[in-house]
Formats: sequence, structure tokens, C-alpha cells
Amino acid sequence: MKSRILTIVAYSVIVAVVLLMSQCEDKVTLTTVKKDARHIIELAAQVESEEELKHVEKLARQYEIGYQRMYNNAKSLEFKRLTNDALREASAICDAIHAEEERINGMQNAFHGSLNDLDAAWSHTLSLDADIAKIESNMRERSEIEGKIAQTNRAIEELAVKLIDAGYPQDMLAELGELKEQVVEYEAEIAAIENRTRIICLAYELQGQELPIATEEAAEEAATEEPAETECVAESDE
Amino acid sequence: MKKIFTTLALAGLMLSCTSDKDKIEIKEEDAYNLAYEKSAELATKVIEAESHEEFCKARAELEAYEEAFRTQIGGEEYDAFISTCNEILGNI
Repeated sequence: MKSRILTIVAYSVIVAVVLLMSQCEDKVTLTTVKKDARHIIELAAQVESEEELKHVEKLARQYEIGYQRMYNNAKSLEFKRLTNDALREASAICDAIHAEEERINGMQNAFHGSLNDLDAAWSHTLSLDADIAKIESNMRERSEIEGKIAQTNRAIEELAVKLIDAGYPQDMLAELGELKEQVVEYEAEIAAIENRTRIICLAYELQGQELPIATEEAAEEAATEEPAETECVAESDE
Repeated sequence: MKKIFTTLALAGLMLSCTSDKDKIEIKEEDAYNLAYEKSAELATKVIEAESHEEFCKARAELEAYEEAFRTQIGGEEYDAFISTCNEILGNI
């Protein structure tokens, strides 16, 4: 009998400790709904980064849970109603800050990218035969990748039709996503190839030499307009 | 020992003097006009360089001003500086 009572007491203590720990984890001091909401609104107005936004949102959730546990759903909903607009506004500000940062990063990348391209062109040692071979190999590589893109795009179209018939299953959606990513990767490869060609052409331009090469586009143009044209137009796509 | 310390101190002094001299300082009141002037002048110098050496010098100067505008001024002026540079450098 004595040992049974001891066991029950021990279990009760363990349960009490666990409950107490779970309460402490998300502990916020509740005052009144309006006062706590005002505190969150003030914090939301000062948000300037995603990290700060997450902190305020977490705090607001803790208040909501606190009101739910200590009082009732009505108080929790009232708190949510009072803070919702401020949190949404903070989230919008955060998005705007993020977009601005992305824009500045883009400008900085373009700036350093242009300078690196110019440096690469100045550092390029001119060697007519080798450079013509490189440009031609770039053109071949490019048309191979374009073929792969066309093939992948056909696969995407076929899969999209099958996807509708099959009722959008997850595995097919994932496959479609992978194919689309593949196209993006191929396009990035083409951009890199074009840039390599562009740097060779730029090297000749900067170092005051003529590059007598005709790309496919130039060959077509030459056939229709000026047959003797020898200008490097590998960058004519841009 | 004394000689070593004196030499080190002198070297330190010389280094600090050189870095101060090289550092570009931008006054806030001049920043807006300077952003347009310097970006146009230095980016043009970069694209009109006639040798690799000349290019490297012009690039270093342009990047030094970019850093100065980014770290000392920022905002609208930095925006003006870098977008003017990109416009000029993008034309090559």
C-alpha cells in the first residue's frame, strides 16, 4: 500500500514538472489584451529585418497561446485582431527592404562583373587561330545545349498533359520541377558560353586588333547583305 | 633593441600616413553631385584605357570611390554612383 502511494506521488511530481517546463518554454507575462497588443504593435513598427520580424511574430504567437491557455479563445482572437494589421505591415516593410537589398546586390554584381570582364579581355593573349577555334567550339557547344533545351521543353509539354490527366500527383509535379530547373541550368550554361565568346571579341576590340570571324548570324547576314563582312558579332544576341 | 623599436615605430607611422593619404573622404553635402561627376569620369577612364596597366589604375580608382560611396554615404548617392557606372560600363 505504502509503495503504491509513493509511486502515485512520484508520477504526479513528474507530470507536474513536465507541465511546468512546457509552461516556462513559451512564457510571456500577460497584462491586458490592449496593453500587450500595443507592445507588439510598437515592436512591429520598429522592424527592419527578417530576423526582427520573426522575433516579433514569435512573441505575438506566445501572447496568443498565453491568452488561450489562461483565459479563453475570445481574448486570444481579440489580441490577434488588434495586432494583425501591424504585423502584416511589418511583413510588407520587410519584403520591401529585402527587394531593395536584392536590387542593390544586382547592381553591385553588374558593376564588378563588367570590370572583371574588361580585366579578362585585357589579360587575354591574342592568338588568332586559337581564338577562332575557341569561338567556333563555343558556337557548337551552344547549339548542342539549345538542342537539349528544345528536347527538355518537349518533355515538359508532354509531362504537363499527363499531369492533368493523372490529377497532379506529387511525384509528377516533382519531375516537372526538375525538368524546369534543368532548362534554367542549360540557359545559364549558354549565358556563360556567350560571355566567353564576348570576352574574346572584347579582347580584340580593346587591344586594337581585328578578329576576322563570322558567327552563324553573321554568316546569314553576310549572305543577304554584305558578303565581305568580317566583323566579330558573336555578341549580337545581347 | 631601441633601434628596432624606433624602426618599427617609424614604419608604422609611415604606413598610417600613406593609408590616410590614400583614403577617399566624401563630404555629405557634396555627395550627390560628386556621385554623378566621379562615376562618369572614372567609368569613362576605365573603358577608354589604352593598355592593361592604364585599365588597372582606372579600375582601382573607380573601385576606391565605389567603396567610399558605399561605406561613407550609401542611399540615393551610392545608387546614383553605381547606376551611372553600370550605364557606362554596360556600353562596351
